[in-house]
Amino acid sequence: MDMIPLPWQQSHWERLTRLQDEGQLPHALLLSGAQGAGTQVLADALVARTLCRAPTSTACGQCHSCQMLTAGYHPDLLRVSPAEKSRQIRIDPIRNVNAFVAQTAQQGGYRVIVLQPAEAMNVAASNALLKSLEEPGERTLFILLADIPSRMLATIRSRCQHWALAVPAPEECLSWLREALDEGADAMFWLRVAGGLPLLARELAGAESRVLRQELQELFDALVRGSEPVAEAARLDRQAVEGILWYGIAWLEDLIRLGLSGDTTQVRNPDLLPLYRQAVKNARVRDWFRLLDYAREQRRLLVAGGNPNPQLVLEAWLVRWSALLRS
Amino acid sequence: MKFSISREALLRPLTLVAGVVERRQTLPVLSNVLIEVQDTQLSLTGTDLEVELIGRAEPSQVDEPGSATVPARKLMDICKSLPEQSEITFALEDGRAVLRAGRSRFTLSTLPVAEFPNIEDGQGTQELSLPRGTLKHLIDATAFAMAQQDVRYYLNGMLLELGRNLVRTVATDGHRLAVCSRSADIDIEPAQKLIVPRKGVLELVRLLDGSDELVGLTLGANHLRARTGEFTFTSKLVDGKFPDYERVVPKGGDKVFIAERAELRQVLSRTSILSNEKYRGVRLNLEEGNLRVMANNPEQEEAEENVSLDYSGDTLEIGFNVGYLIDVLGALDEDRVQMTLSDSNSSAIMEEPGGGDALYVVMPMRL
Repeated sequence: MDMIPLPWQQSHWERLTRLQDEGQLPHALLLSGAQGAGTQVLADALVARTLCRAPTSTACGQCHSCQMLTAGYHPDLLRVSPAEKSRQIRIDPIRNVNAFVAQTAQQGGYRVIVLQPAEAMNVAASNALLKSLEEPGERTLFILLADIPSRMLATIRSRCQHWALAVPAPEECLSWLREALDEGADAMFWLRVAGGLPLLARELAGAESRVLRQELQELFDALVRGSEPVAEAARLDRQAVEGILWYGIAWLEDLIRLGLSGDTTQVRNPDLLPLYRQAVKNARVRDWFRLLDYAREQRRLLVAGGNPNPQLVLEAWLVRWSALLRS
Repeated sequence: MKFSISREALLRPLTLVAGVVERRQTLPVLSNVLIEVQDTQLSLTGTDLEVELIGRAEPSQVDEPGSATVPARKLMDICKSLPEQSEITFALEDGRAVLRAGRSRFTLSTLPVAEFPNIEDGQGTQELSLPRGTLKHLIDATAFAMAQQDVRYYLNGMLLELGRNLVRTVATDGHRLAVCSRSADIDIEPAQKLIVPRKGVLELVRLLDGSDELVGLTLGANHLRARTGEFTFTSKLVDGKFPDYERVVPKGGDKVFIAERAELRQVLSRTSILSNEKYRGVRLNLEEGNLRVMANNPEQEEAEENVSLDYSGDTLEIGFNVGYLIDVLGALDEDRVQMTLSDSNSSAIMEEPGGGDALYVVMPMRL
């Protein structure tokens, strides 16, 4: 578990710790930011400092509380996430939260509840949380992490202080990213591919994601050459449907950028320019937007807990692509 | 760490401590017991995160002080099954705990002490001591009325009120209320009110005997700690506000009768057999010199009992959940019981004749 915030979060961290030292920290914080901006690291660092017995500018890492946290568990920390194989936080774990805040802290300090991702709470769970979230007892801290806070109920959002973490400036995170990547990896390239999100860049530059990206790139080249989309879809790993949609959407956005402006510096995946040029020739921008809407809808369904057949999603998605790439 | 201890000296505190440790634990370290050895003292700590119990024993020899956590239940089973009067040697070797007794040897796994969530000392704000018997009586007289998994979480526990020369316990589940107070040699200004969770109450009372020896209580913002020679018990508190119980006690009841407690209890238990299994309602008909108790169930079976008692006044018909009445009659220890009623929609007061230290309020039910 991280006890130190990431370098580009320093200003947020200073404000948070100042509020905490002055006893001004609200009892419910909503931290939002795109996945890959490192909101979780900031939250973990804040949790560690809140539970620490002798905090300095960060958690001390030495006291009993910090040692328990390092071992992976703290009696006064409750994490709530969707159960395995489910994308929703249901009402039962929220009832546990209510029982948790009804009793005083075991170690005698703060009680901390981390909900992640907070927008995964279904309506019943959200409503069950409202009372505890509005007026918990003393020394209680709720941290809600959300990628897209607008998906949460307004009644939940209004009970939290909202901190939105923007995409960091490249100069603030490049040195961190260079250290995080393997030797010889082009940090600037991967940061651009990830749209400026350093943690996402680190993930994309990982071996597994690179393979998937390479695979997709070849697949799209094949589609341009006229291969059968259904046959291509069968070759893809069905588990990675979300990752595949993510790449597809990122590339579509690139295409639209390129198609509208013709400016190659705005393109996030410069290595795909030949593919883009081919595609721009073949279809109109309006068609690309239509495909983007379709892809986003599919992704939203996936995130919202729908359980679509991955094979069908991939086939439908690639058929649409190939229609546009070849037209 | 290395020490030796007799089986009997270890087994007594170990059994108590292992009782707190739950069998099904999500976190491995919670099924362990923390063993700490100092110069002449051995302490065993077990916790389920809601209550913590430290048991103490005297080792016969300490070669090397230290601490370790070992699986509680396995350690207890081993100690139990060793022959009586065995001398157990406990040593930590390469991160594993080795137990030797006679010609037996057991090696137990350990987990890092730093991961064990024991509660550190020195968080208390107020210290006091009470005779064990007093505390036990106060808990015994009221514990049955505590709510169980009520959404009004502040009812799932017992209110402990400590003031000047007075200790009081209150428990209620919204249908009945039990209050018991006793004078004690304490002086707490301003009066402290804390809610001890249900589990904490039930565990604490198991550790108390009826003697006049003292139990030391430490009141903190987050914990209640009870200390005697052999154990230290700590419970978390319920973080909430207990309802104003004084407003619940009905005033102006004019129909007062006194009955034999044991007899009334038997009558009610017998009648309850034919009451509705779900609602457990019985009808009480109070007449001059007589109380008629009636019950019936959906199968149209009926029970009727008559008890003669000391009453002269208006007649009254009132319904009660018979379980609540029997609970109260079981908690009182006087031979006779006094019941005060006013009408069929008002709650009843039950207490010792003339009022003892305990007072019970039971809500009626519409039949």
